[in-house]
Amino acid sequence: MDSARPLFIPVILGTTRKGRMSAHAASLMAQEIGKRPGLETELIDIAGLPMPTSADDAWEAIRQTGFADKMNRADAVVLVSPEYNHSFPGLLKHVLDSCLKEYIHKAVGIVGVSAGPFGGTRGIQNLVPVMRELGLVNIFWDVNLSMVQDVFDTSGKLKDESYLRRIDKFLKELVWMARTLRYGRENIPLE
Amino acid sequence: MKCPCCGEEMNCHAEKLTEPLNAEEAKKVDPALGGIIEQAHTCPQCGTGDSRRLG
Repeated sequence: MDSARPLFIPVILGTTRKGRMSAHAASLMAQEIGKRPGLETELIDIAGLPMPTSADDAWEAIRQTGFADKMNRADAVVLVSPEYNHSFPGLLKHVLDSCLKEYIHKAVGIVGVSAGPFGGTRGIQNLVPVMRELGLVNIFWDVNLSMVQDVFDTSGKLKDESYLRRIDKFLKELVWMARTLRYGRENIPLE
Repeated sequence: MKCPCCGEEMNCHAEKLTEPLNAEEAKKVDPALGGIIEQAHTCPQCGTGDSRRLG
């Protein structure tokens, strides 16, 4: 295994709504990943992807933006998802469904965002079985940003630094899983 | 399977059961498994991933 190759961990901002506070959360996650040696990241905003509502090539349009290449290169993925009516955004599912083989045996961590007190936990619970079917491997840490309107100031700066401790635990687990799965993908054959 | 980027022999690390992509593939579905197997391969040299569908 080429251990000198950095791990690539993109952050997917999973909502297209105007005024979305999840954008601050996604920027924070990308910033925290970028601080760590040996890691590379990129913020992928699903609002920047084409979303044709018909046609057989709806997923191909997304794949051809470079999204599939990025998922192929990724060792792990961070999903930032607000909670909409106890679940996650439908457009996030649409984007994720554009790939499959690119995800297999890669780690995923989920950041839940909500305006209420539950930090997107119900959305996360609905995302977990989807991750399994996509071939991604869930970690057991989440980041839950409750009352997100109070977590960041208007410029997107984190107001409560206690979140950084949880993000650190989340990223340590995600990196461990990403390294382990990379070793497995590259070296351990399916018997 | 050879890596499309560096030519190294790739490691097959997974077989994922998937839906058939079209009517032609649907004819090849193994009834015991209920889908089409897609093998995932990764290059130990450069980390490139690729796959091949069986059937």
